[in-house]
Amino acid sequence: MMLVIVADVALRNIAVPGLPRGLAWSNEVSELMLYLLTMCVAPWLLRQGQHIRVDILLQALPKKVAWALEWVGDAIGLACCLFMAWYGARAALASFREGAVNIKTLVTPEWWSLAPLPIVFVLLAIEMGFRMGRLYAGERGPRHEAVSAA
Amino acid sequence: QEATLRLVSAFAENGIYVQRLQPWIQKFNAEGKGVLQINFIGGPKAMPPFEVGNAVKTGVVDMALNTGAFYTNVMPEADFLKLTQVPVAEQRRNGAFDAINKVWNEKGNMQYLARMVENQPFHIYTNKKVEKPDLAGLKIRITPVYRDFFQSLNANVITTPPGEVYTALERGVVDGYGWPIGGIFDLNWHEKTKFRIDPGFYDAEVSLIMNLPAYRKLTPAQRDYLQKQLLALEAQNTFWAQYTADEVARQQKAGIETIKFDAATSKSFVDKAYQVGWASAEKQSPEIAGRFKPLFSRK
Amino acid sequence: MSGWVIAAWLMLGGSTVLLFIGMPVALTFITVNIVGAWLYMGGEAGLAQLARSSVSSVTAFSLTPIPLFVLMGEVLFHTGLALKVIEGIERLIRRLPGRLAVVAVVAGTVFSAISGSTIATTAMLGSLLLPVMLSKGYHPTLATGPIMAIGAVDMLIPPSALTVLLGSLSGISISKLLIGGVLPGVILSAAFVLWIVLRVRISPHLAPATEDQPMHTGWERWRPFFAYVLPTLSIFGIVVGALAQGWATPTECAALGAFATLVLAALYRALTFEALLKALKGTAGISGMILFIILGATTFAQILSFSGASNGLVQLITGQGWSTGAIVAGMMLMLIFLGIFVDQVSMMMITLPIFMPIVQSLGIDPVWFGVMFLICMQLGLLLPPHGLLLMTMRGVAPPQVTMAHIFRAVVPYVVMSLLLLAAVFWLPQIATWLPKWIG
Ligand code: NA
Ligand code: NA
Repeated sequence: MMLVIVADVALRNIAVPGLPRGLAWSNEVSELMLYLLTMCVAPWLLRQGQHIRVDILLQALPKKVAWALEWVGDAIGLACCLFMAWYGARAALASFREGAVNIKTLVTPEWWSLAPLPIVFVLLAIEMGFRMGRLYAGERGPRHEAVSAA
Repeated sequence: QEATLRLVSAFAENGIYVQRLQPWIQKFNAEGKGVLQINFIGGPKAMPPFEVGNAVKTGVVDMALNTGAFYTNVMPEADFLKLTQVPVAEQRRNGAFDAINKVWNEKGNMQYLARMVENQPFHIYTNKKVEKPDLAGLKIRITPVYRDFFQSLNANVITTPPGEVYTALERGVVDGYGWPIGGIFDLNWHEKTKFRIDPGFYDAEVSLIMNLPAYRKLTPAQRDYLQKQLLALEAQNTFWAQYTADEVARQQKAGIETIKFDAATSKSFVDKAYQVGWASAEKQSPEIAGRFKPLFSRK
Repeated sequence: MSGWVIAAWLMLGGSTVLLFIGMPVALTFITVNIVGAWLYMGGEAGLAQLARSSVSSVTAFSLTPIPLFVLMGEVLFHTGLALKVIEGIERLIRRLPGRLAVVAVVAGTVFSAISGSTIATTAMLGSLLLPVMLSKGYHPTLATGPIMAIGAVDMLIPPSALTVLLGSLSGISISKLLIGGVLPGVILSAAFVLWIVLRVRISPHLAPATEDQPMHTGWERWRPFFAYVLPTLSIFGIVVGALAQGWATPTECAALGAFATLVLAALYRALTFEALLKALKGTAGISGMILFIILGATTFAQILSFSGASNGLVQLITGQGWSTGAIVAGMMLMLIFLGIFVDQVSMMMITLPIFMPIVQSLGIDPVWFGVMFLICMQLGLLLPPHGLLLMTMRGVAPPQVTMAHIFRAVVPYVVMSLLLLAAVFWLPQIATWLPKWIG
């Protein structure tokens, strides 16, 4: 992504014979890469416990209670992932059936951009299952996970 | 019985389009008590502009204020509406309106209700003087609406988010941009613009669209009331000619010079715009473009 | 209760409850989005629309600086360039009361100009300078305070991933916010230096002057400065210069900055494959996490607005007859209060959907408001008991430094940050002058 943008800026300001002046599609490709980065990394982060959360209450409560709340959170999280996967898949499928296209500088089938979302949420749901397994196997207390992004 | 239609706008709430729509909605609701009401939900902060078309199609909202360029993902034909050269009143008489609705019903699951913006041609704004309609060597910020036309004029086209255009102009990242005759003051772009190329070309299209099942569900009384108000809305479109004149004067006062060509060059410039526009329309959807072209074009 | 009141309770209350039972921030918002889309956007069609809107929320060019800014900081730290910078600054600052603490503040300010990560700055300075200070007899409060405080300033001085996040979530101009943070950041750094010098003048035992440092003179004294500090600062120059010269738009400057950082590291032959891999991995992790939250949060704000709750709340608050100043002050107090309990990203998620419509409807200068928001977030990093940098410091400090030391150490810097917040409140030019001047 960085390289695409740098190339675009360079080409726009320095005329290189044989190459176009600027890459008109660089913005679109960059945003697409940003989206794909988000999608690809999300399940891995869940495995690492790097999706930040607020654990101040969990740390303050008795360990058993905090452990129970972890279960509640995981169960809701699992349901959330399954819902997103299901309706994301339906949106992508509808778009595929209708042959919708994104018309920007590049013309691409719309379902290409819609399809990664449900796939990733299926992966997240699976990882949520593993996560619950680890919670069951581990000590009866709150997890220690990332709590900030700064 | 009374029904309420939920309306979203693909345009910002403080912009001229929504500001013109608001009094109409108030009147609509005042006169339509017991028949039909409109609930204005909001602009882009309630829904991403490029999702509004799909939301109308799937019935997430009932009505929308939108422009075709924003819902080409629903149907590429949406953007063809910029190529109309006859007023909407004439479109209703000559069959263009019905032809549009046939396509909008079938491909977009939506009813094309009314066009609320007319006579808002696009212009090329630049910071470098050009003598003839040739943009060779200029870096011009574009949207897909006029990309093909600008490329046919040899411009280096750049896509930039609207929020970065001002800085891009200031720093010379771009030498110019395409935009309708109105609206450059909203974004302060006039401060960084030196020339406007006349004549304009195409017509910025902003219309009301409606989810088709929601439209069909209306009772005859409700539909008649809606139709009456829509025609009243279109009857106000004379405003836009005056608005264009005002904006031209305002741009002149702001120090934006007009670049004019001789009559023959001007004509070929505009002809070329439509020729390029229709050519890409025919490439995307030959059959429908063929149907629209005689109905949209000036006799 | 009218419809919007229920929607507000459901969405704002629901997300707060889920946040506090420890669900990851991103999933909290996505869960509430699902319920909100079902209720207010028409069942199944609404949920499909939610999925589509989620995709479009992160397919946004304005967000591209986030991974690029994070990458700059990661490269700086994983290649060991940071160490060289500290050395360079250390040789220049001599015979000053509390010398090493001042070095920490100055080095931290230089890092801030390249790094987008406050934790990295604190951890780096803490593990490198803290042991030295303690061994030279510095009191733990004087040793730890400046490091934590300057780590927090990193967020104000561009590049800063959190500033980009604030800009993109609030709709405030990202470039103006970035530039608007410079002056307050520099003012704070200067105030810190002044405070350290004064404090040590009054109680010299806090920081015994040591004469055993090797005395470099002439070129030897200046060499590391020219070899490392100046080139590193020049990256900051490239980012700002590319803006001023018209080579690139603000977003593209981030790409140039990241590219320049890599080139510089390569020139020092510090860019090993291993270091690059670590930097890329760290970048993917941090920015992926932020972006995933954006995916939930952007859509959350849209649904909140769609349900009518945003407009309802805004009318409720603006209709009370309070003055604009009182409302702004109230919002800042709320932010500081939140900062005690939750992290910076959650602060933005919880407040922005309500604050920004108020800011717009009252005609408040968004850059002014945004910079004060940044200062509040910076405060949140330092506030006991949950302040993130306090925990970071605890993690890297040797055992003789107690939590009580750390809490006490941070107090003067919290006070200075509060004073700065008040100063910006009464003198908006501190925040708005530079962005206006640069454009
Ligand atoms: Na920074
Ligand atoms: Na930062």
